[in-house]
Amino acid sequence: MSAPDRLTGTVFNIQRLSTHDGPGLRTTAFLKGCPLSCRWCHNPEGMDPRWENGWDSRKCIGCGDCEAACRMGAVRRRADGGITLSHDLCVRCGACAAACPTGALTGYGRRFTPEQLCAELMKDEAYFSVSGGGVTFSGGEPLAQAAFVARTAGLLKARGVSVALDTCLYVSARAAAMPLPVIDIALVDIKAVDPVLHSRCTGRANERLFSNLSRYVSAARSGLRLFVRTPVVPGYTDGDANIAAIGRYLADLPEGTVEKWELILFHNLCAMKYAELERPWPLEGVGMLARADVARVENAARSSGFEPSRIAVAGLSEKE
Amino acid sequence: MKQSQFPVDDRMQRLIERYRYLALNKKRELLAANPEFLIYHWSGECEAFAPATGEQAPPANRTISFGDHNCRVDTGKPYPFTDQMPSKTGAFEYSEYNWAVDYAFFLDHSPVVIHPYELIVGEMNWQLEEARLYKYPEECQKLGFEARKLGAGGFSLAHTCPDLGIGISLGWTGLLHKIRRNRAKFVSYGNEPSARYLEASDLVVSAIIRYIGRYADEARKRAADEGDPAQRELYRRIAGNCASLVQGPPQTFEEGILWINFFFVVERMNGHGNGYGRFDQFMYGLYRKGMDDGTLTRERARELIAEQYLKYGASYFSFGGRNEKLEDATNELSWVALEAYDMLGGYNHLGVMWHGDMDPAYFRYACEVVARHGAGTPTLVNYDVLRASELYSGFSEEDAWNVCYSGCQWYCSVGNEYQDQDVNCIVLIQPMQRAMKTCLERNLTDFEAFWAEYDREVNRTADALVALKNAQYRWQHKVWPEMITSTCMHGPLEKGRDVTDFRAVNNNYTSVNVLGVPNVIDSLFAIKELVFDRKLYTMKELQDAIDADWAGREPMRQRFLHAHKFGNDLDDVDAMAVRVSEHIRAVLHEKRNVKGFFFRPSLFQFMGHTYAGPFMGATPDGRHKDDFLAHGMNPMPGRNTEGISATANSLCKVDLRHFQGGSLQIELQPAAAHTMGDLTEYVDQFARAFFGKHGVQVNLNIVDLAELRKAMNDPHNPKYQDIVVKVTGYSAHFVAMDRKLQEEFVSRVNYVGS
Repeated sequence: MSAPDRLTGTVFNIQRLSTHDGPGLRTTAFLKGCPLSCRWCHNPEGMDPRWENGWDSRKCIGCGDCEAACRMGAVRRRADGGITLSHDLCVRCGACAAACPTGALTGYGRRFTPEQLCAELMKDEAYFSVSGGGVTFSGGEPLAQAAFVARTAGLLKARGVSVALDTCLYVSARAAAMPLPVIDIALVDIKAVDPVLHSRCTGRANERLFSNLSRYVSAARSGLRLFVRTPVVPGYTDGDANIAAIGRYLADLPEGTVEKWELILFHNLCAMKYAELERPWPLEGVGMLARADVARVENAARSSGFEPSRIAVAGLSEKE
Repeated sequence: MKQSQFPVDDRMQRLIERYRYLALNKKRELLAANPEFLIYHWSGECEAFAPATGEQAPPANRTISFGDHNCRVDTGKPYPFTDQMPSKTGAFEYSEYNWAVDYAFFLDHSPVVIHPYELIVGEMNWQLEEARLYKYPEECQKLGFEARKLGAGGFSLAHTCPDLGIGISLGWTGLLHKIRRNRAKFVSYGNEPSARYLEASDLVVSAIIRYIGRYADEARKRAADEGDPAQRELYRRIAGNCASLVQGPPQTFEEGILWINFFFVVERMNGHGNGYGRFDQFMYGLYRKGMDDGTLTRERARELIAEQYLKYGASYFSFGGRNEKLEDATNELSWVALEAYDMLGGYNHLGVMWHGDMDPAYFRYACEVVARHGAGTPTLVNYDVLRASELYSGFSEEDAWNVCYSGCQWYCSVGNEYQDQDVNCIVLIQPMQRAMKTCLERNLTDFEAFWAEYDREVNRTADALVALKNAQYRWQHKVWPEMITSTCMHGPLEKGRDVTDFRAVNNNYTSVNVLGVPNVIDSLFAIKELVFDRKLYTMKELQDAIDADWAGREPMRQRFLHAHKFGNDLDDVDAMAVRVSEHIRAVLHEKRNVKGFFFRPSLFQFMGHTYAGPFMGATPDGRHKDDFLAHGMNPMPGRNTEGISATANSLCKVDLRHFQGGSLQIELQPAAAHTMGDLTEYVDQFARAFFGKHGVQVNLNIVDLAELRKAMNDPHNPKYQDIVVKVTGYSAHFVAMDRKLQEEFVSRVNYVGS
């Protein structure tokens, strides 16, 4: 007898009826753990691959059940009625979150086998078939759990579901290649072409990204639908030069390789998540883009040489 | 009103202004006598909705307004001839004939009201119960209060769907001829009751013909006196159209629309409520005739329909569906009728009946209209589920195919059923509460034993409703017959029996709204998990906590509140949803009314959730006493955290083909339109997927609840005056609604999309 298959993955969120993560109505699975440290990361609970807890002061009634449940002394009630989480003492057992009656203490990270996750993601199958949608793996960085993603995607594929992968491609060549046979769509993030700027934005250079991207470009010739997404973040990626450089890079690819280039406008709705995780929000005080800036960025993209009809702007800008 | 692709001319603009004036100045209010009416559908004071004036009108400071949801146009005065009503100057008796004599007098003394710029005329200023006694005998009152104690109630009035095709093809004179022919037949048979009924019906229809004749006379007179050529032409046409309707059936599309409006007026004088059927089917003949002979254009038809919408305020028509061969029934008039709403936007009650073979372009247009105007119109319903539901109950194929979405969340076989849609109620929380007390008294330690008590108590409540309804049914046709509706049903004139009488039409299942179903699902699931399975609390502790409205027991309340909740696509609690829903269906299925039919549940109740909280007290789902209940079969606000599809999936685990409705209510944030891309596409795709899972109805508002909260305190700000919301199954101008209804609406949760 062979050993039982212990392959599992950690997912921190499942978003249903998503209209942002590929065509049609989609269910997006957010996998926990990411090799980059984007300054603007909107899913801070997805950075660390391990289970972690967060605390929402608005929901807390100060009952103390979490403190009583923690055998490590990692949760302490404060005099002001709040709690303090000592992450160095925490063994990530989840007892505090399980004991919390209000959901103020939440555990981020749920383990699934591929079969379990597939069953969860199939719940909205009826919406996929009507809309031309499907499932998207996002994160964090889904390819940080490439074997799990590839296995789960294979199960979905076998059920006739369209599968998309939302990735930064900052992974090994082996990991990047693993899901290619079972995905229909790749949504590849390109934040910057200049490695110095990329490093300032994400903490990492981008050679690995472009190296892996070439493989995806090849796959596009044999049917993979390739979308490129660029987060437009004030002070980081929103410079005309950066946008134009990305556009030129895409324009130099064989005609039709990139189906769509999406410019995704920055927002700051994630600030509350940082508070829950007791981490500083690095872009505190940075607002949404002004309409004039959006027009400027869009113009830079449209003048870059990349086919303008394939450029889309997504998200909200500041009201003027 | 929002921009549409269809321009509005000056005359139409004037009509829109009058329509807005009536709505915003509370001239079209529909009233309830007390909160109990909304909870149990029986007030104990009035027999149905509250009369606005007259001896039976409750004090104005106590009534609750549904908003601008009435055909009646208020003049601020009582009916001027109340004292001269035949039943007051002569003898009052419970009989159709006595009612008809009053009705004929009432109509003969109702004013002719013609406003400048209008072509479609006919306006009702008073309803008959403002002048005639509308009161069931004491035995019914007693049973009403007994039923209420156990959690049930109901009335019977004007909640069916006549077949206006009968009237359109025969006209009033044709109907009168039919009445007289059948009366002669019954006289020859020696069938005195049926002959007498048709004698009464003759009085009613003759009065209607005189009423329309008075409009012809008045319009002719005004035409002679009018100096403005355009207005003179309008009067001339009104006079000609009315004169034609006095002579026979409508000959043109314009006369057909006028015929419909007069039907609404004379029929709604005896009570608020009916739906009016498949407009695109019964008016298609006149539409096609006009288009073929060149007397009608698509633009003209659109404008006439729009005028009728404005004139009446809401029309309760449906479009689409299937024909007798079960093919797509959508035609050109389906488009034109929807375009007429698209021209106006705002308040209306129209349904589009989707099915798998519907012209996709038409359904997409319906979704576009919903997305553009954001006011829940048209209501999107699933024809195939409506029909399956009728067949499941025992309707014949012949009756079931012609099913039609007719009102808030109910539907009828057009002209073939009378079954109290939407006017009876069981408050499911009350039997659950009694079962909890029995559980305590008997010290039950097993959930199934507790469930057996719940089953017994639900049966007690249902039996109380059956007793009340049967008493009402024995009296209904004598207390308050529906003689105008009866003229356009299949059966009453042929049998000489009012539509409210026994077996006048083929189908008399009693429909029952069930209030608080999600609260009971969530409560029973929490009790099972926390009291019986995990034994974290005893039933005594739970009962004490509820009696104290959870005071001093917040951690305990939070545990009950955070047990799995219906609406999140979770199989464990959704299994309880199926069990609770199928149980009430099975219980009602075993009950019989005196007409020989069983009772059918609707997983919906239009308004009781707003007012019932304090009457019910706290509940084991973690709800505080003063919180609203769940709205229909929708989860409690804020407890469905997994998005729209999860809620829809939970709902669809209940086989809605076994029930008589169970709509999904969605309040979508307008900002979602920016972040979700093409909203029309989103609505179209979502609705088709939902219907593919046997979902039955989607009420979709696109409304910013934060803005509405501001509107509550600034109702005269023009910015807020045109906001129309789909409150439950019906729509209203938000600023015209009762405060409590506004509070409930803004307590809902905005879906923001992904």
